[in-house]
Amino acid sequence: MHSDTREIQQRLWEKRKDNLRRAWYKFSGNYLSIVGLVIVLIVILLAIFAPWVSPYPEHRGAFVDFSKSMEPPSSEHLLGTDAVGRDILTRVIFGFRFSLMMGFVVIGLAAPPGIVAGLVAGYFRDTWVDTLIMRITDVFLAVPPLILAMAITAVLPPNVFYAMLAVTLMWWPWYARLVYGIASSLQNEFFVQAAQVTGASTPYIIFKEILPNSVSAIFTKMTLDVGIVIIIAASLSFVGLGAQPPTPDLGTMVSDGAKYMPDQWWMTVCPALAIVFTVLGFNLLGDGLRDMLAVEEV
Amino acid sequence: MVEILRIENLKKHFQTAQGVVKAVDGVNISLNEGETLGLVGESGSGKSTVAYNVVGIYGATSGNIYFRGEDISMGTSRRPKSLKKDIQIVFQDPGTSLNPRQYIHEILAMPLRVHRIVPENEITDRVKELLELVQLPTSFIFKHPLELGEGEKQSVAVARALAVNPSMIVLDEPTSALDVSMQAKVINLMLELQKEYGFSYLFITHDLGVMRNVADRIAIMYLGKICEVAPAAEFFQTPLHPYTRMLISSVPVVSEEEERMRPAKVASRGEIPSPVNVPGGCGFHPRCCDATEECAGAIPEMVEVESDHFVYCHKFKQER
Repeated sequence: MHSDTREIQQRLWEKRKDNLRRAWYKFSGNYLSIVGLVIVLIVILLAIFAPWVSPYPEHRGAFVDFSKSMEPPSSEHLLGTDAVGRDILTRVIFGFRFSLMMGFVVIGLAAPPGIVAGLVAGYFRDTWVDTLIMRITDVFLAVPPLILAMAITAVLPPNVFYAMLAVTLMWWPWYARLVYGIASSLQNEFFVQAAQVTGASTPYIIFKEILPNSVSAIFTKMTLDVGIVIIIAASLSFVGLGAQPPTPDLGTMVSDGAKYMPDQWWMTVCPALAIVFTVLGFNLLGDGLRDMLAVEEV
Repeated sequence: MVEILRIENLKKHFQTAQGVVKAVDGVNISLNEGETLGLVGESGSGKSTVAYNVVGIYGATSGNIYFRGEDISMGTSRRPKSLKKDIQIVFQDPGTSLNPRQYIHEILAMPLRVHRIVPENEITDRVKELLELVQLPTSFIFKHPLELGEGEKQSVAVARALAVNPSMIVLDEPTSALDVSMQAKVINLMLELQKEYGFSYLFITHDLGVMRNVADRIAIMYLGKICEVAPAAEFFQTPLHPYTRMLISSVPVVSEEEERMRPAKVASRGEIPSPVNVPGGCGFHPRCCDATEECAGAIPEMVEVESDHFVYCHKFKQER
């Protein structure tokens, strides 16, 4: 009896495809998750193809046309124009780029160290490793996130890079906390003890036995967090610490438009609604993912 | 007979908010090569703690465990890797002893890879062999544990223990989570494997009925201490310790023949006390019908009543 390893890989791959199909079936059972997915896809596609889908691509930057200043929504400018005559729809579409980049980059940077810290601390629960890692995360968690970000961006020059750095620094402890909770209960499970008794290495146990059991919680949190990070990024921009003009950014637009409320309401309301739309999409998607992955565990 | 495992005065205490729990408090037992030693006790008697000490999930508080003469009383993290190949365990709950996120293939390949039992390109073949060994279809390698029944899961757990070709397997209540038909299947499987490969089993259970069929010798545990150790046949015919008699007389019987074999009914009194607050002297004296003043005062010494039949009870103290 000799079986080809490639055949085994093939069969495992087919099995995985099968599981994916089943997961999609569960996910699509809830129409709100589909709505979330569609919103997220729309926003992502708009952001990627912004120069081609926006009506006035040249309005993304430092463009001035005072003859068109502060026009209300019309067929020419669907969401109106801002104080210097730029099309708001165009700037909202380009604004998605910054928001999404902020969300993806921050979560992409914050999650891995947080996950590793949580796994290690949870696996070595009740040892000095646990104490050291979790007390450090406590210190980060004790500082109000927005205040820390503002402090960092106040010391460092206000630009996109430092804004991302600031949000990342205050975000990883949440992943550490989440994964710590899962890992510290799993390290007591029989399958982990069986691996210890057999002599499997600590990295194997942490990454092959414990991590796969935390993946569903991590993915759900990442999706939900993209929405929250977008709000934080917008808040930073709102107080002038995020993206700097003339970069089109939803938070900056809300802030600039606020001066003209309530007469020129579209300058604030439209970008604000765009934020709501995006965050809603990510939240619905996250809820759908959580339901899908939770059912699978039973 | 060659001794494979010797436990000497093993103690394992846990510090809890309520006080020190003496889960295991001075246990002496030994296991011979190719033999099945049944370790029986009520819930909370410390039998699983002994098992976890043997495989190294816990390190001992004091006392020694010798495996083929080598001291292994420390926890797994400090044991040499070769030892982990020789001693395996099958856990009580098959539901949580297999990683729900892994395929059976990955679960069974892990021990093969850790100890390089077979070269990488033969792992799948070996995994299939292991499944055949525990009488499961080889198509199971592509299944998740969630897709299997409880008995099948436990068989996979047995296969995982077999993967490293161990000499001794600790069975920690391997059948208590299974329904009766599955219990018989798993136990017969274990016995067949023992006949073929000569494993030594430390078989932990609270089910005396199971013990009658599988054990060569039986040790009874009560509140972290051993009460009686005897060869299986003698154990059921002439139980000596009052606790043992109480246990055996409370096993339900079906046939008249079994009824005749049963010792005189001993009424069970009370419940096993909290291990935080163990009674002084002989731990069993508050529930014992033969208890005297001496029992409350002094911990009974081991007495060898007949060859290989040991009892820890003041009643059987030899006059010297």
